[in-house]
Amino acid sequence: MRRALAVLLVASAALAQQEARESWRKTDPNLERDAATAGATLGARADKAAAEAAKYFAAQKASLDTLAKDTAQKASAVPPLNLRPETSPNLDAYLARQTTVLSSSIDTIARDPDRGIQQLRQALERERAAVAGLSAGSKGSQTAREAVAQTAASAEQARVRTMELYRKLTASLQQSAQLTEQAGTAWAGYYRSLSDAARSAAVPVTSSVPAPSSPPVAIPPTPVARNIPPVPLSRYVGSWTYPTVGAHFHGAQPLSADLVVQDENGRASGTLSARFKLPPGDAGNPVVQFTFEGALQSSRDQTFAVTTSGGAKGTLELIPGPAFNLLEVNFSTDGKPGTIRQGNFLLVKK
Amino acid sequence: MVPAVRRRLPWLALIACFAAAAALRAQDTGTNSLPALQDAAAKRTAEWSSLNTSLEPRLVRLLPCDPRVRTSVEEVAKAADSRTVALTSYWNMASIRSKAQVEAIRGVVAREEARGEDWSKNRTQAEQELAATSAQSAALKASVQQVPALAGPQKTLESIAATDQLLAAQAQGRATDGGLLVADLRELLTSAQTRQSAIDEQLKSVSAEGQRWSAYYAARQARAQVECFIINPAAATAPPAVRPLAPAPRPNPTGTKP
Repeated sequence: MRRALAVLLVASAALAQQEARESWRKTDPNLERDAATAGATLGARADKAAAEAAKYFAAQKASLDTLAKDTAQKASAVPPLNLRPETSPNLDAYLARQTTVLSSSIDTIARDPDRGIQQLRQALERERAAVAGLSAGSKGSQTAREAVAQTAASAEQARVRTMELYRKLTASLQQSAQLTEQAGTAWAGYYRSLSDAARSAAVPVTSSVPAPSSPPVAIPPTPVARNIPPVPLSRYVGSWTYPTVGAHFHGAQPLSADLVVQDENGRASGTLSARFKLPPGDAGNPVVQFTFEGALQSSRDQTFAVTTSGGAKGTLELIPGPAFNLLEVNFSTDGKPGTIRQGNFLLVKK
Repeated sequence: MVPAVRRRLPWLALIACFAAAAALRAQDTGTNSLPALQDAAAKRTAEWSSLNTSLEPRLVRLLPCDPRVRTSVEEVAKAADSRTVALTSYWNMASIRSKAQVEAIRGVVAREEARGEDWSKNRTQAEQELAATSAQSAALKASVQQVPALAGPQKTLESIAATDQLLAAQAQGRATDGGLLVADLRELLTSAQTRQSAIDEQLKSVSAEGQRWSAYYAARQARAQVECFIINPAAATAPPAVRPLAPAPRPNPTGTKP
């Protein structure tokens, strides 16, 4: 039952990652080819591809993790037998001595016609036959013991070799899972930078050298002057929460996080409340709560000053995620030791 | 007593089998674990060996009809039976565990044979990923001249391609190891089955050895009775045990006919 369930889990994880991969690869195969010409639409296309890539890498990592776990379990499915060699006394000398004594006794009384003595001779012969049986059998027993010792040693060697291979495979799968996670993060960064590059190419924010071919009237007012972020405000404003499935974080692992961001006349304010997983034995405070407030900037990433409930100061960065409903949070404070002073994770819009 | 022990031996072996099977269901700890059974067998063997080696020196010092002759032989025979039961319990448990291991290996072999294709698929997919990322990187490189800001993303893609290369190498390694694994598992299965046969043979050998010792002590006891009968017929109680002999009348005086 457990074995069937494990097979099902591995197959289902593999299928999920294959579907996610196909979906990602089909989303926008010409994205890079169009990068120089797509203009402002490239950002949206990159966001869409980023969302699919995030799904694929999460599925791929899950598949590798499942496979690694399954492989590790199979390695423990064949425990050692631990047969110990049997210690049997060597009775060859004893049996030989008995045979000699019995034969000598038989010879001594062989010619005695006394019926009682002849009965004794018969008894001695039967005893000698039993001893002979023991001597003959002892060789067979020894052979059987040696056969067990040899075959058990061979089987154990084969088992150890196989288990070693399983350990190697498990380690390789774990490394691949880790690399896949890194690749997923790199792809998210790639799509973000592609989107940023496309936007900066389409709408130059500042330039100290006027473009010779552009008529002055054609230059659009810069976002800096109006302090409007290059992405819709909805990418920051609203209620956000830490997802229970497919969560991404760097550093301290959040158990829960809720962020509320409001906007009023070009100024943003809000609160963040989060609880983090502490290392075993760490008796620190796992909760972080702070408020923030500040003017919205013309950049994609928004930075605000924060004040924690404990009075510590710090900064909060809000970075639009790879999909429209994702927001990356990056904060650091100068809180006391024993408190969470840094956090970096992805939130999903409620 | 000795013949009674001999008749009891198959039952004792059967009880040992049931005890071993019941113990398998329990955890491999305590008195029914393989090491504990092995310790018990070693202890019974030592006890028997000590009694057996000292039997003849003890009997030599006793008169033929001394009741201690009979009890001494019985004591060693009983110790030999205890040793046989202990060894049977140990090898039964070893056999049961070995069979369970063979079955576990058989299951793993079946699963790995079915998974062989998956390792190859993983490798192919990793290679496809590398090819796709490299193609994306090449496509973006062509745009960098037009939009210099794309140089950053393009570098990121190159670094991702390097990661893909590592992932492809790992997948290749797993595909190779996956093939080796199936071969190793098949070899392990064969080795474990051979060991199983050897254990079964050992079990038979233990039983046969037990019967041989039982036969020897019966013969020794019979000789002791004949010796007693010669000296004092009235004191000899039971007929010899190995092969029932007709009650032997006291031999007639020499020179007379029966």
